[in-house]
Amino acid sequence: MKKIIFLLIAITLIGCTSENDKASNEAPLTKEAFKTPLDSNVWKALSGNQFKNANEVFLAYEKEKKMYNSQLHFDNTMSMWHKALFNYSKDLKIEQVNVILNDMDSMEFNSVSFRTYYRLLYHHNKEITNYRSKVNDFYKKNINYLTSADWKNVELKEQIIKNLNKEHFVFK
Amino acid sequence: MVNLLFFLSFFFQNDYKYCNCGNFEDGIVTYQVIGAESGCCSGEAGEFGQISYYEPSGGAWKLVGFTAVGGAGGQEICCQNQNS
Repeated sequence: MKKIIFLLIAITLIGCTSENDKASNEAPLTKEAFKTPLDSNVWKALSGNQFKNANEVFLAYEKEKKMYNSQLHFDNTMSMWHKALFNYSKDLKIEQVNVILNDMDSMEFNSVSFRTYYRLLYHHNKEITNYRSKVNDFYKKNINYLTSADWKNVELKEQIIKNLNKEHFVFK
Repeated sequence: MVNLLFFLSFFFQNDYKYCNCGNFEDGIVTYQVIGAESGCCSGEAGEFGQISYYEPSGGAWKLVGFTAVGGAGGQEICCQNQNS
């Protein structure tokens, strides 16, 4: 009888623990924390008319990189920066290009800025040593992420996959 | 005179304000208003405006896409019911 009571208590405790786990997994998503602040220089870079040249944009990017402690906050704002760098991709120096490519490679997913990645490779292909493997690895990483992602905005996901395939096709 | 015009153009070049509205579920609209002292809805919209789209990822919101809407488009979306 004691064993049965003990067993019932144990089952109840396990049930409570899994309910707590479920509750913590279903905690509301963090809201404002990962929104790019309005005083970020990335807005100036995106608007395209407030920096004198590619070097100035790169310096602002490097300065702002150090400001974010959270990985996701960093990723969100850096994705914006990578998109902004698209218009400057031809004029960046190879040292700067390598920094940006490495930053983008270190991110799990780059849907916002994959056009910049391909454009950097296109303009600097003769100076990038592992150019071919970079093209393939980048595509593989992003297409795998996208095809397995469960997004609420299915239309946007399909459009991004289409754009990724289109960009990658040029490098095949 | 040329120098003065150059100085003035440089001065006004940075005279922008950035405004936003919206939420992570539907997208956050950010747009440019000419004149740093201008109100978001009363000031003249600049050229830049976009909607940023997010998807839930690991308990937070991950940026996944953009749509360009222009400054006027962004202002229209954000200021439909206000005059600030």
